[in-house]
Amino acid sequence: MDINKLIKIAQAVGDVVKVVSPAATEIRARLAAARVEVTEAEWDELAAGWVSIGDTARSEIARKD
Amino acid sequence: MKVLTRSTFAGVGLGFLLLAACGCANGCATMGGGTGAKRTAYDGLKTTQIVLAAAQQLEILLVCDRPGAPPAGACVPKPLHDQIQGYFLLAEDYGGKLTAITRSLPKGTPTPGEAIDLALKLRALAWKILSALPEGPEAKELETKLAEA
Repeated sequence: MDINKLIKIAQAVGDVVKVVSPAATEIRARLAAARVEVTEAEWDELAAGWVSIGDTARSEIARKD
Repeated sequence: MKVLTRSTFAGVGLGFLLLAACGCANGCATMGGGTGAKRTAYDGLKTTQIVLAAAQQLEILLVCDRPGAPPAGACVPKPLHDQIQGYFLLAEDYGGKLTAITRSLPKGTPTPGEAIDLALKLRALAWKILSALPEGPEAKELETKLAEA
């Protein structure tokens, strides 16, 4: 293969890596942050879960078999 | 009914709830101080809630004289059932308050004493509930899960 073609290919690959590498780092950082951050939906679900346990308990105590 | 001994509790170590209240295992003082402190607290609370909800459903299946209940001696009499369900009402109270406090704490805020107090109460209550369940593989599995929370 022509040496000039090889150099062009290597440069093209290098350009792609330059673009992709920071993007991948950014994506990894965002994924890590998303895992650490507790969403409002998660808090809502947790709060509702306690109420559900209480509702079941009230229902069971009131139940006459 | 089995009795959980002191050594059972000692085996749990600090337990999930102090960790949850502080947000780290080494006694850091702020909820926002460590990376993912709120996530740690949330995960501990969520696991506890899952265990308690499963324990509640398991206990309901064991109430005497209900279809599919175990025979006398292995089942849960209605008065005890009501007492145990009363514990779940307390769990709702402690867990709900602890969730609200944890959720509302801004980053860097010192963990309130009330949160630690609630965490200890909820932890003790969870073990009390599990110790009230008849022995069996399901109860054992819940104990293991709670210890890991």
